Amino acid sequence: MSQDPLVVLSAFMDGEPVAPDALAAALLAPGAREALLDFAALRAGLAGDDSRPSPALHRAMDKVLSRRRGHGWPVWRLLQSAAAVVVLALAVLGAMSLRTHFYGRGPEEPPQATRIIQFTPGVDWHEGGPQ
Amino acid sequence: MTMRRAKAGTALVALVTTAAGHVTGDDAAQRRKATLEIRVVATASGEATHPIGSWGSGPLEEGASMAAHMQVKLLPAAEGSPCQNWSSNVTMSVSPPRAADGPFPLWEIEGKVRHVDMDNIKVAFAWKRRSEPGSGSSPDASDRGEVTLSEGGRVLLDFVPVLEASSGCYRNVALELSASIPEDPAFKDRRVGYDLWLVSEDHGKRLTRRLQLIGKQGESVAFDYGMFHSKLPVVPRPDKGSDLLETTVSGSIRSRIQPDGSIEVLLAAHREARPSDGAWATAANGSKRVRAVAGETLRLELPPPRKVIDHVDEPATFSFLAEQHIALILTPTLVE
Repeated sequence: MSQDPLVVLSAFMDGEPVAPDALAAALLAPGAREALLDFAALRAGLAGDDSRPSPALHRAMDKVLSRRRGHGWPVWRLLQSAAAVVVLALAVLGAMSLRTHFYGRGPEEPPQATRIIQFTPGVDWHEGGPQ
Repeated sequence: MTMRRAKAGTALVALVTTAAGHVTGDDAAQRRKATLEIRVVATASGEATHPIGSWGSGPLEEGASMAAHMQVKLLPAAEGSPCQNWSSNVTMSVSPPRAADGPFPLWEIEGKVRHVDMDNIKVAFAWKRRSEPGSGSSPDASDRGEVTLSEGGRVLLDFVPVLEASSGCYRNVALELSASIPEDPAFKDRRVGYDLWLVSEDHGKRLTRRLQLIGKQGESVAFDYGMFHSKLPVVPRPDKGSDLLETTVSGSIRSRIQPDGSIEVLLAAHREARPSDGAWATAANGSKRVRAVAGETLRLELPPPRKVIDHVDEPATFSFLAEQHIALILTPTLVE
């Protein structure tokens, strides 16, 4: 079964192992050159914006996505996975922070008593409910 | 102010107090005073019982006494008025009136303060009841005795059903006595912080719970640690029993800062245990009065419930209870 040429090219750009004959076939496919340029633009956009997607990245993504028409791109899936990992990491950090807030402050053991006082049954300790 | 800051602030006070030579735990009695209040309460038809007159005396030192006369009058406001509009009147005086005025009671009361401690005020009392002879008048009566009251506690001395027609909506009147300890003006606005821990240890398992409370001088502050469970090593009643034991610990703390800087603490505790199926329960309570230096940590051991309950044949459960050590660890501090 032949692979989608753009998927092969995307995987190649992402550094994934690609069979040489599959890569050769993909490079001969129509639009392969444009796709490679799009991927390069996408990488450049990612490298130039470390906080939030830039307009250039949005444009590049729109271009790629409109060309794929519903088919998932490995790079896009990578972005989705990365976003999910970031959200998960933030949630874990938040939970750890909350735990620290509730349990991390103050001692969990009482201070050492300097005096021990015993109730004496029958004298100041009696069976029954509160008086 | 946080408890931590309060504790830090009071550590110096504790140090100074200790350096001044105060002996921790010194319960030397101080001359305390109590205020006695005589109150007449009445119950109108369809309404809650409410006070219609009171007479307070004090502060009274131990051995001091008071006397009062209280003449009750129940007055209809207007013909056809609803019950709420009926009024009452209690005439109070120190000197005795010549005679009872009307069909309602004239009480002559004497009270003497015998002993005053926190939540422990002994009062001797004597009272006489008279009323003007006539239809519906209550018969003369008298009584005397001694009563121990908690602070703010009260005792019903006399109860008179109202039978006289002119009483309108009133169904009864009663006489009650209450006692309290007046606060020293120098300390009455001071507050005491309580760092109160519960520690439960049984068979190598340890549970701690912490409460941080603040109470005004002389104020009783309640605490309740809720329920905690212990798993019994055996099922006591294989047919229907539960192997979970439920324990609750609650109580109250009242304290007063003393002129020497120490804190007199009265701690009342209640310990209860029962299997989670509720087949039985055993409870005990007690109170302890101690003198502590601010910032001092006290451990109060709460004895286990008694070993035997009638009709409960679960020796293993009670052995478990006997080995369940529960203590309250209290550090009182002065809150600035």
